[in-house]
Amino acid sequence: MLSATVESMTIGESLLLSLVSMGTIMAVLLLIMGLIYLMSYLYREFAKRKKAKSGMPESATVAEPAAAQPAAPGSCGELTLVKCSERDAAMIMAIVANNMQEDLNRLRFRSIKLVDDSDNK
Amino acid sequence: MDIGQIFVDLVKDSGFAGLFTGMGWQNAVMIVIALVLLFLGIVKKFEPLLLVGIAFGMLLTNLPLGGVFHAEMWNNPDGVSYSEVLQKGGLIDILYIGVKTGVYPCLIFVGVGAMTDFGPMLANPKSLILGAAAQLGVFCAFVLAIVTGLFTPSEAASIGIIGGADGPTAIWLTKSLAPGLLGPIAIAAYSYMALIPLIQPPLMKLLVPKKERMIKMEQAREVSKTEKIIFPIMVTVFTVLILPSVAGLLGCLMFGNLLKETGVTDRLSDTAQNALMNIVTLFLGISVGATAIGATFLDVKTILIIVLGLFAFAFSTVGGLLFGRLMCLVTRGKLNPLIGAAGVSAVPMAARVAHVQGLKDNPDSYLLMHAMGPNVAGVIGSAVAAGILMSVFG
Repeated sequence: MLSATVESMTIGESLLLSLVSMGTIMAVLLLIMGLIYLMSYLYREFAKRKKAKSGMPESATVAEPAAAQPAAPGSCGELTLVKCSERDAAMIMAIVANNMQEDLNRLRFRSIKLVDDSDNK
Repeated sequence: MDIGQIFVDLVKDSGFAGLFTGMGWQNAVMIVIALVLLFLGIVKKFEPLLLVGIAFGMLLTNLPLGGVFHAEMWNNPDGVSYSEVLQKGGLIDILYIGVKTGVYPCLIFVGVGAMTDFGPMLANPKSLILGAAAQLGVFCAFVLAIVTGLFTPSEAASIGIIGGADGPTAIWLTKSLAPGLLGPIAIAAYSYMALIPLIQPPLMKLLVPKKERMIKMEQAREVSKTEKIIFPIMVTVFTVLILPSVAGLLGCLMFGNLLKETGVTDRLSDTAQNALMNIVTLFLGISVGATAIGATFLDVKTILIIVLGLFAFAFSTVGGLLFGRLMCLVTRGKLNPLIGAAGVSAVPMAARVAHVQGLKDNPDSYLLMHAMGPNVAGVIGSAVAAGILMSVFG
């Protein structure tokens, strides 16, 4: 069909070809997009497993509440604790909320890290 | 010995006489056009690395009786005889072999790949959609060229690819589909790429409301070295399996990028980015310019190509911006539609234009890295568009 239309082409045929071509470009780039997502997912999973296997000490992370325990209103995300116990973290968050005169549920903490002298050496 | 006759013969044999006899006026006009292009390249700095070479090639080839380029050897309906080119060809005939065989555009893509960081695109893969949407101009110009009735479908496809805003891709496709139009198409493609800062901002203001232009995008994630190494290999395998005709262009782009990302081929990456790129740009510019001969260039088709090229660029920008707005809607305002305009390839000029416009509307908004995603996706998109057109008309 294509070879027959190469020498001459009607406007309708050119529109149809354009539509098909745009669709093909979109499909190819969507495929590449999907592959990138797949690649980054596999890479992250692989890195996680590698880390777990090597038994490297991971920073303590307060996981999101389990499904059985509904999150407090406004809670979101994860809090990363580095050299800081959960008890200390809870106290720090309460103090910050109190000082700011804000409801704790309206604040978002991303990470709490103990900086000691050894970190600066 | 008749000294007067010898003098008359010398004058008759000179190039000056050639300018004033027969169709010599066409060469004179072409020389003026070449000088204007040299002015634009040198003084106005319009893509000087290529435009200066193209303009000088045009100047050389239009000086009568110079014999550096023989168009008749290349436009032979029975096919090109490379042995004849090597035996009887001039300097530019020899250099032109690289254009005709598609070697130069591919080698330039090795250099482009070695200079490109796909990180922003890997961090935000959705930007690939914008790179696809910004190919709209390619097909709008293609249809418009068919509507004029003056171009064959192959020529219309070559004109359309100007909208891909990618010089090497335009040359790669045109040398196969419409070699007679190579000069005007290459000049239009590179001129409009240089004019992006003038073409795109009015369209951005027209199509994207200020509220959306002011959107500040969140910082993208960091991309690991491993992902950057896997990406070019993966894209080459999958895309070439789907569209074998893009093997040359896309394969070279990804090869150059792999050289950059491996970390163990720094010397090769450096050569691809600098020495190789400069040498090929030099040969490509001068030999493409040499194809712009008065007899074929001074035609109503050239004017139409210039006009359609502008349409192609504008429609590509429109496609990117409108899809950007759609994605802004879908992401609930997390994406600034301006980065859609960067999908027209032309790395990194289009990304810079989107960034500057965003900065004008919101001084706290830094779009450069976000715009680089669609920008490099546009390079892939235009290569795919060229591959499709090549497989249909080639």
